Amino acid sequence: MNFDAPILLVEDNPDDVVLTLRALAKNHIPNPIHTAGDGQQALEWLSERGTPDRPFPALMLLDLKMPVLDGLETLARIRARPATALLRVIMLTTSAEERDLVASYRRGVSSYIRKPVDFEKFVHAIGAVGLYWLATNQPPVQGAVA
Amino acid sequence: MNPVLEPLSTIDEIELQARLGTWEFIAGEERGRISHGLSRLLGVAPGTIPSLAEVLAWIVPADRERTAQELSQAFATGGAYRTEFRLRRPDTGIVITLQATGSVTTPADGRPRLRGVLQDISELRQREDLYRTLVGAMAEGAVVQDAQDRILETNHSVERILGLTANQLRGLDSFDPRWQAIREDGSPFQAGEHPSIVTLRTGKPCSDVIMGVCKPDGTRSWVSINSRPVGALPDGLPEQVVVTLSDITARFEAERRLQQHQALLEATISNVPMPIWSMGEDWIYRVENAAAITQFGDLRGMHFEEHAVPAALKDRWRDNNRRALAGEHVVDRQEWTEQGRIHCTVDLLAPVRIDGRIGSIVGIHLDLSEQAQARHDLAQANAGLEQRVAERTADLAAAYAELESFSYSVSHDLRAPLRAIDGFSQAVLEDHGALLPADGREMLQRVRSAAQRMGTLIDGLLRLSKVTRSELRSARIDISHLAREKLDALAALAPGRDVDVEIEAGITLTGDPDLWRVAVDNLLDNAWKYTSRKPRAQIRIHRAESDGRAGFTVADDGAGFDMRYAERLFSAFQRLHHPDQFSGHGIGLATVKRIVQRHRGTITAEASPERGARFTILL
Repeated sequence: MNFDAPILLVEDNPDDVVLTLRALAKNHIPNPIHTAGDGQQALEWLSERGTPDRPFPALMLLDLKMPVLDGLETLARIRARPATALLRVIMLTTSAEERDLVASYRRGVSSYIRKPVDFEKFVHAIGAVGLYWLATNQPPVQGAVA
Repeated sequence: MNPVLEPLSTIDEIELQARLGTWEFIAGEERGRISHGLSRLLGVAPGTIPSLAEVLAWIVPADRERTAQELSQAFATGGAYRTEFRLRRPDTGIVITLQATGSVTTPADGRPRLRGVLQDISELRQREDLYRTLVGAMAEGAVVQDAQDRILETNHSVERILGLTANQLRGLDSFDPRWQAIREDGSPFQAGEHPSIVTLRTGKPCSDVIMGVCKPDGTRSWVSINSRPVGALPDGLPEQVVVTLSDITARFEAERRLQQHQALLEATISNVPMPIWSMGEDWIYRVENAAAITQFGDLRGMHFEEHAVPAALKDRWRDNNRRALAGEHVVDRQEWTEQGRIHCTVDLLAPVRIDGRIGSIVGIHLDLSEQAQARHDLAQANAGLEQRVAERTADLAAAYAELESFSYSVSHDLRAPLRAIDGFSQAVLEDHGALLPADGREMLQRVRSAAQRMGTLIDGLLRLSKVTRSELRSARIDISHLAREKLDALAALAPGRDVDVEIEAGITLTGDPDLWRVAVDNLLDNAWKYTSRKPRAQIRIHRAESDGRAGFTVADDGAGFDMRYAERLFSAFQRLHHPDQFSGHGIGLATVKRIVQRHRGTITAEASPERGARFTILL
C-alpha cells in the first residue's frame, strides 16, 4: 500500500483538473494531491522532492498537450534524471493517436490512459489506475528511487 | 609389185600368230590328238598328249565343273559349242583364259569325234578387266543402253547416283516415269529430249546436259549427262549408247542457294528505304540502291572526288571511306540543329572482304532526324512533367501536413470541452441533483448524452481520417477468422440475441491487417445493429467472385434500406435510419469504403426495406 506519498497531477486545463480530482475522490484515493499547470512547474516541484519528509510522488498523472513544456518532453526529462528515472508516470490524455502512444512508451511511460468523454467511464478508469499502481503494483523501495 | 599378200605358209604359223591350238577326241579313246599350237598353249612338250582328265584338272576350280558339263553335253547332243574357261598352265603356273569352240561329228565308222579350237584370249580379257575396273572405279556413273534405249549395264556409281541397284536398273529406259526428269528451270524432259535417245536417233553425241532425277527416297539428284554412240546398225545408227552421269547435286544446290541468297540480298537492298551504296578500292561508286539514287543522284561509275558535296562533309566522308578501306567498321553519327529542328544522321561503313582482302566497302546512310526530334521533344515534355509533378507533390504534401495537424488538434482540443460538459453535468446531478426538478435532471442527462455522442462522432471522424492517411502494409488476411472473432465479441455483449451466424471458412485476401479488421468490424457492427429488432436474425459471410476478382459478402436479414438512397450510404454523416430506430453516426460505411478503395477494390450494396442488406467487396 502506498497511500502516504503524494500524487502529482500535471494538467493545464482547469476543468480537467477539477474533474480528475473529483474522480480520484470518488474512488476514495486518500493520497495528497499536488497539481502542476505544465511540465515546467512539475519539474520544478519534483526537483525539491526526495527527502524523507518530502518524498517523491507515488504516482504522476501527466497530460500530453500543455503549454511551455509538453508531456512528452517532461517525461523525457524525468527519465533522464537518475533521481526520478524510476517514477511511475501515467499519461492521462485525450489523444488516441498512435504516434503519441509510441512516443510515450519510447520515453518510458508506465501506463497510457485515454480520457473518455463519458465522466462515469473516466471515474472507472481512474479507479483502476489507483487500484493497480497504488495497491497492486510492487514499486522499487524509495531508496532505490532516490 | 604383186598387190596380193602371200598367206602364212603353215597351220603352225597361223596357230602361233593367232595363239590357237587344235585338238580332236574320238569317243572311247583315252587320248586324242593335239596340234603343236595347243602343246604351246598348254605348256606341254610337243608330242605329249595329255588325257582329258589331266586337262580338266588344269582348269581352275571355279570353271572346271561347268566346262566338263559343257563338254559332256556336246558329246551327248552332238552339236557345236562355244565356251570359255581359265586354265593354270602346268609348266609356268600362269593362269590363262581360253576360248573353246568345237563341234561333234559322227563319220561313217559311227564313232563320234569332237574337234575343237582353243584360243588364248588372256590379253583381251585382261584389257577388259582393266576397263571394267576403270569404269567401276569412276565417280561418274556409266550406263550402256541398247538400240531400244534399255539399260544393259551400269557401273557402281550409277547405283549411288540414281539410288537403284544394278539389277533394278537393268532393262529400264530413259522414258521411265519414275525419273521425273526435269531441267534446271524445273520443266520436264520430253520423251525425245533425253541425251541417250538423241544419240540413238541421230548418232551424235550429247554433252553436259543437266537433268534432275527423282530417287526412290524422294530426294532429287542433279546430274550432268554425256552420251556417246557405240557401234553401228545396218542403217548407220548406233547399236548402243554409252551414257555417263556426273553427280552435280551438291554443286547445283549450292549454286541454287547462292542464287536465292543473291536474289534476297538484291531485293532487300533495293527495297530498304535507306540509302545503301558500295565503293571499290579505286574509290569509284559501284552499287547504289533506289533510295541512294534518290538522295545522292546516280553516282554509279563516278569517282568519289567527282561527287559534289559541301567541303566539310566531303572531308568527313573521305575520312570514313579511308577508315573502312583500312578494315574498320565505321559508325559516324552527326547531330545538328537547323532552323530549330534537330537533324541526326548515322553513316555505317563496313569493309567487304573476299578471301581476306578488302576490295570494296559498303555504306548505309540512316536519317534519324525524326527520332532525334521526338526524343528531344519527349525529354522536354518529361522535364516539364517532372516539374509539375514536383509542384503538385509539394502542394499535396502541404495539404497533407495541414490535414494531419488538423486531425491531431481535433483529437485533442475538441474532446476536452466535451469532457468538461459531460463531467460537470454529472457533477451537478450528483452534488445538486436533489435541488433540481425531475425534468431539470433529465435535461442534464440529455446534455451528457449529446456530449458523449459528439465524442463518438469525433472518434469516428478520426478513424476515417486515419484510414485515409495511414501507410498500407501488405499481408495475407483471414477474413473468416476476423468475422468469427468480431461476431463472438458481439454475441458476448448481447447474450439475449438469437442470431444465426454462417461464415464460410478460408476466405482470405491480401491487404493491411489493421484496416481490414476495421472494415470487417464496421460491416458486422452494422449487420448486428440492423438485425437487432428481429427475434431471430441471420448474418452470413461468404466468398464472392466476379470477373476474375475475389472478395466476400456480408449479408443480413435485418432492416435493410431503400435502394433509392444507396449512393448516399457510403458518404460520411449520411444516415438512412433515424436515431430513435438505430443509433449511429454515419461514418462506419464511409470508413469501409475508404478501406476498400485504398486496396483498389469496390464495395456494392443491395437491399430492400425490412428484407436485409448485402454488401459485396471485390478486390
